[in-house]
Amino acid sequence: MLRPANDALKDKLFESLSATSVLAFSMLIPCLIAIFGVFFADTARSYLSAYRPVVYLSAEAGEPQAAALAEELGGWSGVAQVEVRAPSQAFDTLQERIGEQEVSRLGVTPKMLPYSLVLVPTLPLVGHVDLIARVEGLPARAHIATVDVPSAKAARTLIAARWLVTFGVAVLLVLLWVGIAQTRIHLMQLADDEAQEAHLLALFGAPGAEFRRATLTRGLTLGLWAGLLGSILLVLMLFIWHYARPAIFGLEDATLGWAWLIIVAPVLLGPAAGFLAAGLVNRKRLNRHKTDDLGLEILL
Amino acid sequence: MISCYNLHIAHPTGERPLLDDISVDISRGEFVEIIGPSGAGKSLLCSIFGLRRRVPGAKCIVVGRNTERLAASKIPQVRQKIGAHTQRPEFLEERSLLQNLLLPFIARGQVAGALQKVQNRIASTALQALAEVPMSGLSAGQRELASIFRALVGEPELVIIDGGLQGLGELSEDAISALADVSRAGATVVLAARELSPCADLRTQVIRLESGRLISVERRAAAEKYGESESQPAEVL
Repeated sequence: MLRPANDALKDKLFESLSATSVLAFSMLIPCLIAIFGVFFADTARSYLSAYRPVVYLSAEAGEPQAAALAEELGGWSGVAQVEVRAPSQAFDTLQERIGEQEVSRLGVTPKMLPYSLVLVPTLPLVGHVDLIARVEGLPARAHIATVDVPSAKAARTLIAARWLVTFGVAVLLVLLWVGIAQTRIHLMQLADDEAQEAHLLALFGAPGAEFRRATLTRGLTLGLWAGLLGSILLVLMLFIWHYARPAIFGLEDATLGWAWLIIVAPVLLGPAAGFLAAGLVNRKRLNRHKTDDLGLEILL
Repeated sequence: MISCYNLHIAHPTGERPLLDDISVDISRGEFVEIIGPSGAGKSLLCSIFGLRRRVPGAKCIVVGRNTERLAASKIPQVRQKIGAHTQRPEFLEERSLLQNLLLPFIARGQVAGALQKVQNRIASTALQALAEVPMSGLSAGQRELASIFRALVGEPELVIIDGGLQGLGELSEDAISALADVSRAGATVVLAARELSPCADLRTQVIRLESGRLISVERRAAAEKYGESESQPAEVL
């Protein structure tokens, strides 16, 4: 090589920056989707985990029915524990919540309150969504008056967030491939520009590995630039999001700690993508021209 | 230095073979001229000696290595011992003559002292004044001379000059002088041309080709050296 490998990137600065930008955005957009997906999932999970489904038995149902149902529901997947709440316990709870005077003013007695079952869900919370659906179907059975389950909105948000993360991963793969393809085109152009130099040096015994190494170096450099650019843009966007979120969602205390994992992802993904693009260039060049029209093996 | 046995290359359209059962034996330090008319197969032979092409199945030993068994990764190591000039020399056109002459050293990764060696080699030649001129600014003769010097400058064990010295005109003296230097220094020189060169005192072997066939091999011991006029074939195949 007549000069350092990365000098070619500086010579074609506009093209190099274009390839870097495409690769950076190919990582940035999926990372943003993943971040929002994880955020919504986190919010929905917090809401759901603080909520426990309650099954209210009908007035005629007694302790035996409550115990039998508790045993049955305890066997469900997604249920860690079933707490049987007797009418007296429900009455105490009611008194705690609205006060003894108000309870006596309303004329409520323990006999007027039904047995109820409080379900403590297990983790992971994906099973919780299924549990909500099963509990919602319980009022169709005898001795069950009604149920109190988390809002379907939270459950739907959790499902949507789960899909958002999956979608983010799929978009990451597609866009990353676009970024790799763009980087590969640029690296191929740089290698073609040096084809004559490579040919002449090979004539005098320069190892082909030297040129392949130069392409790999350029690929890693472009990938690193793209990774750093992607991470910087992500940090800026998250800071804007951090301050804008309370105004939008009314949330003040949510943490962004998990987001750092996604922020550093481009720094690792970028060089890997650049290396892969360079490897594809080298592979294609290795496979070029093996024999001439005389059937002789071309060594140069 | 070079031993090839029964080289045969068929014509792609089925006409006469391009090389027909050619066997060549060139010892270390020889100055060999391959002579023949256009289409005789001289350049094809030079490209095989210069490890630019390999004939499948043919046994050919170049710089002590059997090219048939030579792994692709080992070819550059052998090629570093060869300096080749072709009929249509290629250069980095936008770069200076000096930079182009440095290519053999850069290829080997031996950059230290390379500039001095190149400057010493072109000192007192027509190329000295052109050292900083871009290659695109040189005439055809100057380019040919530059290519010959580029083949010599790295002090290779084997020098292959395809195309002879005919196109150099008045510059041929510089080329002959440089070839004599490397030959006396122990390098093997293979010169392929239509006619014998003026290097009669250096010549140790003349290989005559015609239409891809070996017509004759004339040998003389290096100590004896012979010229065109007194040439008496020691061995005729």
